[in-house]
Amino acid sequence: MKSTETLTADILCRAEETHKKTALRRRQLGTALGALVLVAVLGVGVWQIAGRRQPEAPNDPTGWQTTLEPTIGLPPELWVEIPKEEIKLPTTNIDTACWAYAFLVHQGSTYCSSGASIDYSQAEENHLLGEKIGTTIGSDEVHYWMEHPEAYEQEGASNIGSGGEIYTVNGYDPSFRLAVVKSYTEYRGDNHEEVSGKAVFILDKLNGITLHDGFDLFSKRLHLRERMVSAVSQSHDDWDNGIQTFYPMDAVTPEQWDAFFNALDMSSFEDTHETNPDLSKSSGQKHLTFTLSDSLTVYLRLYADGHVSLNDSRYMVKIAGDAFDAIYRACK
Amino acid sequence: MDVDAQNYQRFLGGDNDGLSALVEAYKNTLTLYLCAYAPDVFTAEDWMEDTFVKLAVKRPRFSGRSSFKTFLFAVARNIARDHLRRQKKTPTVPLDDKANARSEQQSVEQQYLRQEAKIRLHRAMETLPAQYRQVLYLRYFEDLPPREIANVLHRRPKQVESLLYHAKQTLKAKLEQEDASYEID
Repeated sequence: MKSTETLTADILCRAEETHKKTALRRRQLGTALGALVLVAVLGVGVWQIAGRRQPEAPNDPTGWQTTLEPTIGLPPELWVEIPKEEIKLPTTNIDTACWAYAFLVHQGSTYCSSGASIDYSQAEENHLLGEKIGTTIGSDEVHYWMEHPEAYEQEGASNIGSGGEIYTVNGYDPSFRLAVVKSYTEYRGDNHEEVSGKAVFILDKLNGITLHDGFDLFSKRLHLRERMVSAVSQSHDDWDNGIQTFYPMDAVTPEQWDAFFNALDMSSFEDTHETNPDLSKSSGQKHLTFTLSDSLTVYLRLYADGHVSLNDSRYMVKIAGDAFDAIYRACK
Repeated sequence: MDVDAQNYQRFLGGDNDGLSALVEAYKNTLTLYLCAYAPDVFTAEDWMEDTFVKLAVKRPRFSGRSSFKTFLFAVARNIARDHLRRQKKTPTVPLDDKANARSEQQSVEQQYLRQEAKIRLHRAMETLPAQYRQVLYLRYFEDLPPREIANVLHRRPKQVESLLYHAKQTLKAKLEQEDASYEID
């Protein structure tokens, strides 16, 4: 490792270079601003024409089929296919870094931990747990999967560990979302008091699918527009620095939300690893978390250029114009 | 205000010795923590440097609602997360590099952990799932309480307690397998 003196000098040198690049970009941005204003004016007109109304909220809250009208549809060249995800089994110690998230194998598909989190009591209160469809097998120890790679092929294989109860989630398509309930015992406090409880893992299948447009994800699978009850934002600096300060989005009008969800539904997905690999380095980012009527949450990351990702996925939509700007501006 | 926060304030005020003091205090421990995310110790060292570059470039405000250590580990964790997100796949590490990485990691461990028992514990953690290594490192090597760990990892304290419990059970089993003993309660 470098000495402290060398390391500090390198850090300060890199910081200086970054400051110079940022100053140059700002100058270039000023030149481009005039052109952008013209594009934005034209863009607003196009989005207003493309907008569509939201039908009534669903009468059956446990049903998973959306009652929203599907979009007119994007041409096939704008569809994106998310390949079937193969969880890379750890064969060496260094591989374990890629293996930090919970997975479940069900009917030959891999479900991975979603951004939605919930306590068991909340899940019961909201009647989220549906039909029990199986039990997990395997282990929560990484050695097990290194020694038994064949186990990954089996129904119910999960690194949550064996004995977890697999449930459908009321209100969600079981081919998209499942839940695993796992009992645990832990010891708390100085007296090591034994506490038993149940943990709920929400797992989503977002691989081996083709997303035709934003509607396929945000409305059909997540029911974001139908079930949203509140939203909070977190600044990128706070997110970056681990500061858990959230701001209500009260200033956003229902019409602005409607326009935002319309734009999300009608947008096409792109693989940003291919189209914009440096996107996550950009400083213009905001973080938006929705709470739905069933208490589950949906987390979106908004980029200043209009890209929106679910749970930091590399597959993002890009929206623009007032529909995006109104929400982006309202976020801290 | 703790001494680290004071050093950060000094740096924000234009005194680069403040940054140097933070680098000296945290370069080894941040590298070991980032090993729980990175494919090898060299990558972890790069990400450790990126963490300080971020402080030097963005100069984020430190609110004092947590310890400076919690704040710094949260910044490092986000850097690791962004790198992992950008990676299409973990690059294959040639065997020679693996040997060099092992030697470098031993050197960092000896400089920071010092005690043989702690080094053995750190080695035992290497085969655990990444999320277990992250939470155990913060608890047992950095002495962060669950609430502070929750801030670093962006999880709820209850989730951290549960994760710690499972991580400890797995680590205990691993140590028993190796007939090693170390008090981890």
